[in-house]
Amino acid sequence: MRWPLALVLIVVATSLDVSLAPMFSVRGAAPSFALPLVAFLALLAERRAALWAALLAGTFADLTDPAISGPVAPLYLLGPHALGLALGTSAVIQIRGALKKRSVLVLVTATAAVGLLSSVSWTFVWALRGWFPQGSTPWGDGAALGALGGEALSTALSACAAVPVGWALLKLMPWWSFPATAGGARFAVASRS
Amino acid sequence: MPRPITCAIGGLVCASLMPTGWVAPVTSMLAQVAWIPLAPVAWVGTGARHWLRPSVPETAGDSATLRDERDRFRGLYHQERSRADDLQARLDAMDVTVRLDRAAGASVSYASAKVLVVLPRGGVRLSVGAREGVQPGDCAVVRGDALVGRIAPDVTARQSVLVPLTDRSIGRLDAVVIPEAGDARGLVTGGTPVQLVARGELLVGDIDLEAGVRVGDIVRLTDAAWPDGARGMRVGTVRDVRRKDEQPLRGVVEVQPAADPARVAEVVVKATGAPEP
Repeated sequence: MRWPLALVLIVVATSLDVSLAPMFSVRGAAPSFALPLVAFLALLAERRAALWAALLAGTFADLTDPAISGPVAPLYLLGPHALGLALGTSAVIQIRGALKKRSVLVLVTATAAVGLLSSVSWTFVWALRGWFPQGSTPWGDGAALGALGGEALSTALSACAAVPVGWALLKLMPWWSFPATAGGARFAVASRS
Repeated sequence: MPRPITCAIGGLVCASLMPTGWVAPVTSMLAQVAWIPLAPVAWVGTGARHWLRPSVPETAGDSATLRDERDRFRGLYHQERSRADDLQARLDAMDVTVRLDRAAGASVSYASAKVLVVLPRGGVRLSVGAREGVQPGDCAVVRGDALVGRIAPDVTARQSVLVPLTDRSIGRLDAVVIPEAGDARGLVTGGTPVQLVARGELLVGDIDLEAGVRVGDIVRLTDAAWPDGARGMRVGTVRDVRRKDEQPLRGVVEVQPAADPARVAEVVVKATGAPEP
């Protein structure tokens, strides 16, 4: 995997998440352009590179999205998104051998999977912090399940965003220099035939 | 040796579970650093968003009007809330007083009175009078059972004067000292009788030292010369007990009155007369 390209795309995707994505928000939940990118790398990059990319994208997400506003805020907490994306990436890596990787539909599904695992991890970390003495959570007096629902809605929107993002990423395939994998080989054989 | 990715994940787990006070200053600084590479593209993205979906410009006039409206309604809210608190306090005071009198079988009516003015000799002029059934000699209480004083003879149709317990014209008060713990349990019998007279801001009386009166004990009125509604009300709290020099077996008890009429804004008068139509 070419790291410079990955870094640039992570920065661009995170920037669009904080600037352009709110335009597409539904009931307070906005899509993420970084999520399809992480899912794309989880499908095609080497295991270690995909995990590092997920941690990096998650760290950017944690540092651009203050989770709590109010008297203790803004509180940028390192970890919830980064760990969630790493968990999601790890899960996709486990099953990617059985997937047709260079398909937009597969990318949409992988985005949803990564996003859902990330949402669960994010909610879990914040729920843990809520048990601390004087701990506060992003959902305040509301229910953690409601916050998880909001994250799930954001994941669904991200999965929708994965269609154009995936199309663009697949167009950049020659620039990535991904290793030839079983799925890739199958795709190559199928293309030649 | 652990792999770097494992260390990174471990570090993030620790960071995500650290107390807010430790982690917030560091992450705030990191967030500022993280914004440096993001800012150019974010600026373009924000521009594109505003171009695609322009926000409705808010005129200066609209903003000022909205701010004025907000401030007006905020003021009204606080005004009504203050009034509601005031009414609630009056209701609570009245409720306690009524329950006490019902339990004692006293037949009185209640007149909530505002303190209009504090008179030079310590009395206060109240906003209730004969029209509300207030009669000379009626008593006034606050906070349910704290006796404030007695209504002076000159009662007009709409006003009356309340004489505090510490006024010499009140004369001797028959009372009973009840141990603090017993009073809390409602045991008003078996206390130590005492006759109190005003001395300055306090009430003082002779007491048997063997009776075991202590500082903090509650003093309640038992005087038959007072109306039914006044008996059992709290006169005050024992502030000091000391031996009399001339009578070593006797002591002097000093009682701090339960309420100072000059410092209350409202009292409940237990009116014994019939309200005038």
